[in-house]
Amino acid sequence: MIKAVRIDERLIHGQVAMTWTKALNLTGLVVASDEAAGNDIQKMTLKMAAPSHVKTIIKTVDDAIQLLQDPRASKMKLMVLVPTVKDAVKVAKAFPDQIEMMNVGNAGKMTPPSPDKKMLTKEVMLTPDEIEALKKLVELYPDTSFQGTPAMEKRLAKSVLNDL
Amino acid sequence: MKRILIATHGRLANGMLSSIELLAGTTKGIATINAYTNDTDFDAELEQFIDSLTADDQLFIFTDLYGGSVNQKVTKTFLEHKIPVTVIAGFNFPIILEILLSRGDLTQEKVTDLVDKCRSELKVSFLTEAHVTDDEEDFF
Repeated sequence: MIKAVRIDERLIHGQVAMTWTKALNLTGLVVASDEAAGNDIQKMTLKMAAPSHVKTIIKTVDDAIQLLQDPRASKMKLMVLVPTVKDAVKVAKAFPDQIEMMNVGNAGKMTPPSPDKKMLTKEVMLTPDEIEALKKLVELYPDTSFQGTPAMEKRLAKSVLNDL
Repeated sequence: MKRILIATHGRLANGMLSSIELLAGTTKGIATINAYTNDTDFDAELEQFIDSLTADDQLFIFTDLYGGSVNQKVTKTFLEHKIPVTVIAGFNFPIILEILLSRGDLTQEKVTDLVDKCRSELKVSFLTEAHVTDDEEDFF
C-alpha cells in the first residue's frame, strides 16, 4: 500500500525518518531516484538514515514502479521518496488513485541556482519545467499538498500554484 | 500536557531547540536553560520553569552530562520541590525527538525502552568503502 509519495530532494533524512515514518506508521521506504540508484555511497548513507525497524530500498524510478507493483508491496505501508516533481508525476501516472497522500517536502534548493527558478515556499523552489510538472501532478492528484513534517502547516499545491 | 526542559552547560540547549524545530517542525512545550552563560541566571530560570508547571503536566528533563553540575542542580531542585520528574542525562538528539514525538502514554517502561533504543543510535562507522546490499527479497 502506498501511504504516501513525497517529493524530497534530500530523500531520506531526519524529517522523514523521525516524523513521517511515525505519523504514517510506515514499514518501508522506497527511494525512487535514478541518480541515487547509481551511486553506492549515496545508497549507503540513505540506508543509514532510515530507522532500523523500517525496510529501505533504493531503485531507479522505473525499477521502483516495478517493485511497487509486486503484490507483496500491498501488504506493506510504504512511502515513496522522489527527488523531483517530474519523478512524482511518473509514479503518479503508474498508480492512478492508489496513492493515499501526495506530499511536497523539499525541492529545488540543492540543485544549482538559476535565475528562472521560482520560490514557491520556504522549502520549495522550482524551474518552469518543474512548475508545469506540478500542474500535471495536481491534475492527477488534486489533493497534492506542501508539508514539511506532519506538525507543520499543510498547503494545497493548487492554492500555492494559484498564488504564483 | 507533556513538558520538556533541556538544560545544558552553555548554549547546547538552544542549539538543540533549533535542531528540533528544523526536524520536528514544532518546539511546543519545550523550555531550555543554557546554564552558566553570561546573560542567564540558572536558579531563576529553573524556578520560573517550575512556576509554570501545572498539576497534570508530565515532566521530562534532558541534561547534557550525568555527572555534571546541571544534572545535579536539576535533580536536587526537583527533589526538594517534591515534583515528580523523569530526568534523562547525557541525552542525544534521537531520545529528545522520541520523547517529543511519542504519542500515547509515556509509562516508565515505555521511556526505558525508548532510552535503550536511542542509546543504540550512538554508532561508530570506520569508513573505508561503500557497502550496499539491495535485495528485494530482504525488502519484502
